[in-house]
Amino acid sequence: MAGADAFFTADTALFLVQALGRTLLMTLIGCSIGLALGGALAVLRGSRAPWLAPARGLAALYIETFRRLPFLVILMLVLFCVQAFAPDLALIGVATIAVTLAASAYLSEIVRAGLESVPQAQRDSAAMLGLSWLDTLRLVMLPQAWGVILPPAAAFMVMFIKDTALASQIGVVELAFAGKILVNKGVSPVLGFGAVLILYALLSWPLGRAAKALETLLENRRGAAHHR
Amino acid sequence: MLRRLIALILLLFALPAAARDLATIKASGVLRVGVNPNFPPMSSFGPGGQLQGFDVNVARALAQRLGVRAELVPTEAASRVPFLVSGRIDVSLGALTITPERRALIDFSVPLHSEAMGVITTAATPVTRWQDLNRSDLTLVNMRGNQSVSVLAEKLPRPKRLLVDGNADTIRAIAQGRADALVENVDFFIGFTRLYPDVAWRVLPEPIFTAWCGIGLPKGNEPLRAAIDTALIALHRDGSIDRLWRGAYGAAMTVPPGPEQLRPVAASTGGGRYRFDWQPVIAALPYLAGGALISLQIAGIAFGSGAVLGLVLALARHSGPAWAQRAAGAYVSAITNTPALVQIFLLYYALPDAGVLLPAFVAVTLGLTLNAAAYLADILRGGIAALRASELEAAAVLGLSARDRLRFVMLPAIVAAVYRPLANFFIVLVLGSSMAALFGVEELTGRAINISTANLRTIETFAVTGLIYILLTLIASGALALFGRHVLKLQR
Amino acid sequence: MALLTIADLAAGYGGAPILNGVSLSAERGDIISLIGPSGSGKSTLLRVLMGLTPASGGQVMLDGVAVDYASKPALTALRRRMTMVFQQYNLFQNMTALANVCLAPVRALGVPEAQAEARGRELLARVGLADHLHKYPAQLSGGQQQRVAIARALAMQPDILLLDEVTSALDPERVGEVLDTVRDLAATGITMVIVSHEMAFVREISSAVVMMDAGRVIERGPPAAMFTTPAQPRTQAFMRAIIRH
Repeated sequence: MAGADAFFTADTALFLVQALGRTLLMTLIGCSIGLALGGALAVLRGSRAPWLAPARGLAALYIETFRRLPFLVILMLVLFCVQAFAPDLALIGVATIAVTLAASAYLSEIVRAGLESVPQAQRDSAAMLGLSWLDTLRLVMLPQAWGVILPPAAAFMVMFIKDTALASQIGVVELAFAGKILVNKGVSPVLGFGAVLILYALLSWPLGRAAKALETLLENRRGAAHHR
Repeated sequence: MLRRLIALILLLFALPAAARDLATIKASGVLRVGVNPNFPPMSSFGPGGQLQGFDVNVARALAQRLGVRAELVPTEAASRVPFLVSGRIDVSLGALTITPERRALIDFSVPLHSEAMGVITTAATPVTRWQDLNRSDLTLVNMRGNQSVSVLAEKLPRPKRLLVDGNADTIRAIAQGRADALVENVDFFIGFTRLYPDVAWRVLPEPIFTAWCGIGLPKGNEPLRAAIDTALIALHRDGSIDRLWRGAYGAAMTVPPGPEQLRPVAASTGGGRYRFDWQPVIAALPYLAGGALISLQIAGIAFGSGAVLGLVLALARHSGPAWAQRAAGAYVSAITNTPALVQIFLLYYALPDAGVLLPAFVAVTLGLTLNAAAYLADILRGGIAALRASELEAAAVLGLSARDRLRFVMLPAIVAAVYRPLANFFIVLVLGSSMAALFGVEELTGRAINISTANLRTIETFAVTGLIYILLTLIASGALALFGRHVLKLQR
Repeated sequence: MALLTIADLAAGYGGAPILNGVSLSAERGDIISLIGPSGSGKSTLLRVLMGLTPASGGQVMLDGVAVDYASKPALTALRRRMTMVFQQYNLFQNMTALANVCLAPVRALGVPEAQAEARGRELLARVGLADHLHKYPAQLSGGQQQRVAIARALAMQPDILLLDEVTSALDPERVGEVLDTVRDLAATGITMVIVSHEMAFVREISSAVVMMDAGRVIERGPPAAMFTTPAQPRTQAFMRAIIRH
């Protein structure tokens, strides 16, 4: 196989591991900030104060916009827009911002579904007892919504590991780009891209299983609580 | 939101560009040089993950002459001008051809090297002069963002064209038989032919024309340009450039710059301000709309064939024999745990080694179909699982035949459970079809990249493209919701 | 002056009226029971009183002062004097019985935690749950949960307690324990407005019974008279139906 000798070296292994690290870093940071931002948007959309209506509209517009743009287009737009704010930002930073924008929109919907899963009656009780909205959210809503939010949010983050492959197109040397660089240096496509596919699977599969296990655990706990 | 965003960006661009002047660069001790990360032997990542090549050495020599250190910024071909305009880089290398269009946005130094446009082809293509290529049964491969694209359209209008993203991809396309010839700077591309020793490569003798590549500079930054010119002219005169070129290419430059070229031109006029110009994008709207139809087509085919395959997988997992359940499960796991992009890389770049040559459109659509099948199998399985035993028992107790049970009880329940997830997944596929752009398919994103590299109006082009995607998916969502409510009579 | 006065109160969802001008008043220490068929507006009346469902007309007065439901401070003040126990208990599922009872005094009234906890233990003991302080709602029976909900409401030290069908969601053998708790409460002299289908209990405990139908008050009277010799034909029909049942 062409280039096989060049492939099985310590340098190549290090190169791939570094790329894997960048893939993980983009996903982790982007999705964490995305969850916080998306959560804030979901809380905003769940508010009922009339004076917040314009903010609710903007939040809905933001979410709908970023859920309807291909990640590749978000990357391009962020790349060329961020220029104006921070021309020195590293490309991986640009990609992380793009991940944050997309993830916040999708995760916001997940958080919203979680908050809506808490019965209205719980909110009524809190209102009747005179709890402030922050206390209602912090002490009543979130502790009960958490079990509904966490599994799909974790699954989404694992999904997004793969979507970050598109960051290769703006020049971030993450896993997919690493494969392309190897192939351009003469490693056979089967070997180069095959290795990259396996690395993605090694990253995604256990994390996906962990997310699934978390879901089962939380479901069982809820189920058990109801049957006691 | 997007309008507000655009207004915000407009405001920011109305401010003077963030480009750094010579004093700032010297004070910081660092010259930020844009080099292509994927363009051997000009510049590419070496074994240790460090950038190396001709451009890298030129960058270091230039920086040394200015008394600063060179910081290399990986810059894809299409990003060179935007990065200069925004000030992300101080100067751009990466074989930036000097053109009037680019001069409107950036300044250039004196030429660094030439670009002798010639033809690389194989013994299998029956041509002897470059003019022979003007035949509609031939395909010319080219690289997006390169100035040669528009030159070709003018000089050789007839052949089909295939646009790819990387230098290595052009030669690979010819080696794999996707294209017949490359019209480009022979110096840059001939190196890649070494990766395919079995192909009978040849270069047509007569160059089509010679262009000059200079060092790109932010507009109106006169002291910086004078300093770079002085340094570069000195590097030419003492033979450094020639030596570095030979070191990288193993031969002298085909047409080296002479005294005629090594004379600084008069100072440029115009300030370093980016002004929005939506005209080029608006003029290209019909072209983009055509691309949107191709995007829909890719998504539609992948969805339809993916649904059939997905149903087979779902039935196999739900009620097949043990081996079929395992096989279907393994398929779904393998596909859903790896990126579609890399799967398509394999289909497109690796299958030809096994003698299967898929055109880009087919490779992308096939890749998305295989993906859709895995995700749709999960959705459909969820639908089958949603059947309530109580309803099935009721149907059995009422004495309905197996066929009636399927028709009146099972199918409506499954459709009701899966319709919305299916409709949402179609939207995911429409957005995912943008990946096709990376393989030269001219769908919406591909066409956006094409026109933005020609008109250099990147933000305008992608903002409009984004709006088209939003519109497209809104229409698709709306149509699917109406179909569900009125034709399938689904309750919300 | 009446403690609670309701004047011509109206409410409805999206054009369909549910309350059609209800007027009622309660003196301190009154126990007023609302009876009537499902959908007659009894529970909605309680929700409107608490500000959980907006009114479309009329007004509510506490000690002769009209309540401004649009004002947040006024609503907060109202909810410190009047509170409600729900049919479905609505305990916070993520908190123990004691935490449910102590939450609002600490967070909304600003009572020091130690003091709130002592009072919470005392209230839970009063409703017979001294052994279940640290259990979660899911670990308690329906009747026990409803008694926690009553303790939670009492922790706010309200002047008026609204009870919305507090036994309707319970297993039959659990109804008695909750009714015993309410009976004990009545003896303390607290003002209560009760919606209940437990007619024998209503007859025993109420100082006045109010018959509602189609969002209106049909008739009001002392329990004995209302159950044996109601004046209005609608009330007579309702009573006949209950007794035949």
